[in-house]
Amino acid sequence: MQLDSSPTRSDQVVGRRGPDEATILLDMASGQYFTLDEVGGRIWELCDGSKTVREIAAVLVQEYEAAPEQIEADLVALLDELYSDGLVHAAIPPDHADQPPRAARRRAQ
Amino acid sequence: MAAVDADADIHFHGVELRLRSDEPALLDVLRARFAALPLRVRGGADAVLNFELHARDGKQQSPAPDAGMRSVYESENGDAWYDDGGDRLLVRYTGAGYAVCLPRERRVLLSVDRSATNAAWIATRPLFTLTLAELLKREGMFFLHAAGVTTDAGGILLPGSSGSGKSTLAVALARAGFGFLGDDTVFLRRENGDLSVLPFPDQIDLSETSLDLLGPLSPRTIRLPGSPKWQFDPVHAGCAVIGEGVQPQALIFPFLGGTKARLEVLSGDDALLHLAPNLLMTERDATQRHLDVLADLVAAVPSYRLELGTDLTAAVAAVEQVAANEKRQDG
Repeated sequence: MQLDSSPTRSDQVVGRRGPDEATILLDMASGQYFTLDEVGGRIWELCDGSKTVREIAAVLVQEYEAAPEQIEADLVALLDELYSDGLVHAAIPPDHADQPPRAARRRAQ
Repeated sequence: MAAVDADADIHFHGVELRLRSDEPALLDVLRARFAALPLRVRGGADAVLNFELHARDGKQQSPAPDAGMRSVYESENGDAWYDDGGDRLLVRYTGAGYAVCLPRERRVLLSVDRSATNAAWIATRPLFTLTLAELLKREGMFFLHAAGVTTDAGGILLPGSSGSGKSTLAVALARAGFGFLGDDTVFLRRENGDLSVLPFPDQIDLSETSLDLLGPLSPRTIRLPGSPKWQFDPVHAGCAVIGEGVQPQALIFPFLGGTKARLEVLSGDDALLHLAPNLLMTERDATQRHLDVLADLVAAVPSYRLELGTDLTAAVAAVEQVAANEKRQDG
């Protein structure tokens, strides 16, 4: 997932944060369940299509005590997983539209 | 097509179930499932849900799922498919019957092979219950695979899959003085901002193992051909049936096993994960509302896991302790 992509939750997925910290996701297309930890759930909430990966990272840096580089790396890793599982889509900015997202490149190798 | 020549209207928590069939015996079995609910004055229902049940000769050729349908349920005996565009649910019971559920029309068409030994059970249990749950989901009444009992402080829900011991525990609790909401299914509905548990005091299904644990019950009434369990009328079995919705008080997930009853606190997140299989992933918004209600439930009440052991008296005492604690906290 590129830093200037804007991830959006798939409309095939229903999700809800539990009462403690986990978020449960149900993929209607595959019938699979997924759970995210507290930070993953926050990232899921932020994937509304209005923010780039870089902007989501900036929000997380404000909310969590960790090195910005680490937060960004963890964020990209999780988004790559969500993307490859079909749980998020990524709008690619026009000037990068000829490049497939990182997760797609990885699968193609 | 055979004529649909018998009907029955059943009131179920403000919804009217209008049942029609060319096989009166099927309606008799369905009426028995709802017999313990208090009678309602006819009219005034918020919605009418229509079920047409057909008993036909010969092996049923279930319609094949359309290309646009996706699988939403699978078991060794059947499957279910959903069409997002047409909002249509197809439920198939291998070789013996199927149901087509049309939520927008509030209508179910159900067909079984009358020569199948388990035709009545298939029609009135798996096919009827699954499609009823889908139609009620659209009316804001959400399925929960759980037994339920009550104290004067609210409902204690015992969720679990078949064979978990929920019916056994519910009957043991009812015999110990708890009110009885149902042994297998309840529905959840938001009422004035609060969650309400709507009882479905269906006939009680008990296995031979459960009967051994429970000891003498009422005379065995029915064993529908093909049913893996015995069916008892809850009133005849001595249960004090609760007909109206109650507020939830606690969730206790029973598990058969162990020698001594053992109660453990379960986190809300774990409880929600245990409840997730209640969701049939059909229409997106209704499914999201179902998930929201389940999440609200686990956030509102404490959850426990109860290993039943071999002495039901101890398991009942554990539930009584939970009920007493919750009542104290409420007070």
